[in-house]
Amino acid sequence: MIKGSECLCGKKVVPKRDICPKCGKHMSEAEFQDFGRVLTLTILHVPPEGYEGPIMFCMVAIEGGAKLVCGYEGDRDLDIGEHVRIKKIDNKYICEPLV
Amino acid sequence: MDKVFVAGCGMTRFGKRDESLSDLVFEAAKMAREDSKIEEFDAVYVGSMNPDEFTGDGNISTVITDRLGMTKPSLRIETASSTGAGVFHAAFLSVASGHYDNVLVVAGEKMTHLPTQKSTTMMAKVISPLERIYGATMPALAALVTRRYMHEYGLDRETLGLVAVKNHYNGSLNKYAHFQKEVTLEKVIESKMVSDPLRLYDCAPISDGACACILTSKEKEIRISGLGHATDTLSLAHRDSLTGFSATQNAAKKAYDMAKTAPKEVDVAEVHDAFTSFEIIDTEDLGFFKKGGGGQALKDGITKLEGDLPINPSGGLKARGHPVGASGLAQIIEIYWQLKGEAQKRQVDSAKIGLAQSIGGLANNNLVTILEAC
Ligand SMILES: [Zn+2]
Repeated sequence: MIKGSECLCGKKVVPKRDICPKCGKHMSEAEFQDFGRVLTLTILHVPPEGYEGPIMFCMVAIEGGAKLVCGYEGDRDLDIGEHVRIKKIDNKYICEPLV
Repeated sequence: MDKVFVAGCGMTRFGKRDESLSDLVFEAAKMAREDSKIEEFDAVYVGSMNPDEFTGDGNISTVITDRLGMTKPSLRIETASSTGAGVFHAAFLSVASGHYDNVLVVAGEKMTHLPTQKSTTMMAKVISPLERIYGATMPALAALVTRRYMHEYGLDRETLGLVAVKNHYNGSLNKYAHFQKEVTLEKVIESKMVSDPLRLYDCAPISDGACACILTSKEKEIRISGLGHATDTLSLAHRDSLTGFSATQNAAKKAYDMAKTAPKEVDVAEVHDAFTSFEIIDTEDLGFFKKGGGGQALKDGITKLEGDLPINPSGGLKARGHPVGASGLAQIIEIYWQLKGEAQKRQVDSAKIGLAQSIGGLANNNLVTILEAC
């Protein structure tokens, strides 16, 4: 499971935060499934200082409603719509294909 | 609220410039003062996104006002890449409130002296730390938006490239533009990959440049008829939609309501094409075309200089260049010139109502400005 927050307004976020970014009310802690579908992705070939390129990252729609930008370090390309599992390593979320 | 008019404008050529930021602003302000015939100002409003880091200068509003030889109250406004529009709106309010009569608005940025990777890293500071920890930059987040848009609306690579081809053509007619050369579609779609699917020619360049604009309560030819300013969550992941910017949609609604006008009444527009895909998204968010229809409108030539609704006649951020703090004001100045019939080789036919739209960061603090010829 992944820890996040949800608000009475319906907003769900990962990682957790105390105040809703959309409506400003207090959010309560929530747990989400650790898998979802790739919404979009990119491979960045011109990395910022302190990073080695190319960097692949994607946005995943987590089962249960939150969206999350995460890294990907697999050896094959991902596609939009593909099912992925998400792991938290230190403070980063990394996804990998489910199959 | 009092009526506010644009009395005069000035701009340096954008591009790689050797002069200091203050010198560039001086050049633009001199031109605006000559254009307006106004010499006495109540205040100077300065827009610059990050002079502290780009140039190492602090207290930039006073540094610039001092260079202009003016001991007038000054303040600096910053809203990331929409800074030039943000400072224009703040100055508008000072005149509309009746507090000031004549205000000088200047905006500029000096960036090209730094290596590209350093500038890109500094620009990336405007995005959410949640996304930055993976090494995300502005082009990378724009690529996430672009890829999703292409997937949902079937936009193809060639159509995306046509934005750059059109805007470089317009830029070739603009003596203030960073790039004054046309590009072929082939060159755009074969240029270096920056962040898939965005290539080098999909991205606005890093530029130096400054512009200036004088606002007055005295009646002039060009009136500021509508303003709108709206924002969205810092993180892209916290938004409901990835393929449109609610900050533009909400800012546009406010501006149309204030000006008592509608998208179909707009004759010419400058939109924030920091990335080619953004121009297509912007034209939909502003209500010019239906969602998903921006690409077809571009292919049909509607947004060309001689089309029904010319978009980015200046060349846009793509070809005029993108000194980040200056671009938002440069767009408004282009609309002023178009409405006055002073846009020279890139003049569009009989424009009465013009609109400028600017994006801050990854669509935070988006501003829409509507000008009308009286
Ligand atoms: Zn909420």
